[in-house]
Amino acid sequence: MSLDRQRERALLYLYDEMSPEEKTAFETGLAENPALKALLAQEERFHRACPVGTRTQAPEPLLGESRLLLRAALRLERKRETPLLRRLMDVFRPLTPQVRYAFGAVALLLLGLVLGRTAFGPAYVVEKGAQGSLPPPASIIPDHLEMIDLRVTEFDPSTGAIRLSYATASRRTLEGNLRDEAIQSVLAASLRGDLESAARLEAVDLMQRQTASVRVREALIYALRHDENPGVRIKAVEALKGLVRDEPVRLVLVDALAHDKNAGVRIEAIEALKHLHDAATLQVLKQRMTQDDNPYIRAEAQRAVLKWTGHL
Amino acid sequence: MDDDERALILKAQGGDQRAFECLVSRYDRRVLGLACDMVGHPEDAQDVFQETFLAAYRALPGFRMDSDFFTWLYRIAVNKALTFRRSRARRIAESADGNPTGHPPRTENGTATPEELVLQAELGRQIESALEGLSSQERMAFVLCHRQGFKVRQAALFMSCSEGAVKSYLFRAREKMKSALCKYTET
Repeated sequence: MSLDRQRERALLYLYDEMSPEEKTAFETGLAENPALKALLAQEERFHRACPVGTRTQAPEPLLGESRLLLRAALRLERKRETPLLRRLMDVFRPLTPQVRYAFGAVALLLLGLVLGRTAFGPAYVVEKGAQGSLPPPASIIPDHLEMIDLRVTEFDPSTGAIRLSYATASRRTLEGNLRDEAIQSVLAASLRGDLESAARLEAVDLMQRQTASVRVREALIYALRHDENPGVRIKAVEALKGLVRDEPVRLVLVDALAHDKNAGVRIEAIEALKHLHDAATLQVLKQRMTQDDNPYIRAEAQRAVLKWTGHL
Repeated sequence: MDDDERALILKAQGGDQRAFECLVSRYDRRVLGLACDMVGHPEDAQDVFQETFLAAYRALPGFRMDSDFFTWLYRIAVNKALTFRRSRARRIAESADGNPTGHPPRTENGTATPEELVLQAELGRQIESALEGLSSQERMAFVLCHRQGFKVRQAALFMSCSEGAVKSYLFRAREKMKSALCKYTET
């Protein structure tokens, strides 16, 4: 038997990949074949140094943070997914792929016809109501407004007379660059408004690319101090990490390390502060190394203090 | 797959967000562990973790329960980790203390003396460094079969390749690891 084959058998034996019969035969062979025995011993040494099944356990803070970020990402995903699309998916899900493709082809054809009619036909038709001409649709819902509600308050099927009431809200689109003051102001305002966490998380994510701006920096500091969502606060610390030598930033990070109730935020804060040698930070680190309920933070604080002062 | 899990999947397929979150919470620890083992750096592992579950969320309506949910999910995670490594042309700039995960390496070990802990930490760093020298496929086979303790048959399912290919990747990975760790494996 070749050396490669012997080695393969030894490994299959070690990984418990042999049938009981193969195993017995292998063990019998071991007694008769010193070379095979030596080979197995060599492979066993590797197993001892690097035992099977010692998989990495994700650290708890990392897991907690990952769960938060995933939740935020899922919320964003759901927002992107329109209810109509979801309903269509529900309708087509039980069908076989071939039938789905056929439906898709028909839908594309219909869409083409509709687009053709819209592009080459009249822009709109003004219907005359019972009480005279209605204003053109463009003035009913101007471009800058978006319908957010519609109610049929009266309808007479015999005559077709109808009364609708609807609400509109303006949606504004701002195009520019992240460096633009207006863009930064909108993003900063979103952190103070009553928006969903996912939107705030996205705003912080964008703003971290422009931390040189004082407006952005202030908005991030506000988020770290006041945002109720720890995922947003973690992101804010990440964004502020590079500015740790800036006094207001340092203060808010030290405060987060000392008082934030979320361990993920405190871990990010300690990562940002541990190389900064100043008295206030040292004091908080000393306090964290004994009082923090998170073992990773305690260990990191201890390591940082030891590195600075040479003693604990 | 148990009835409970099947019911959760059906609910999640019907758009029940809480059911999907329950499914996530059953396996997120293992998926993040795999991601850490595969890509090393915690932020990268988070990316793989998030991409895995977002992909699962998007693909769940098409999951027909032909296979085990865990196998299906792990297959996505394996693909995401391999894709991530392939597309990673830059990094990993390891952290100053040489610990690429940035967190204390933790493995499922029992109690140990301080001296043993120091030696284990040193060996852990050497193992991480040796893992960096493997190709993506070799590392995946090694992580699945050796570190995570899956059978070759299961690893082949996760990696969408033959059992022979997994054995070949695994054995090659071991050879490279043995060379890198010869200090610890020679008598």
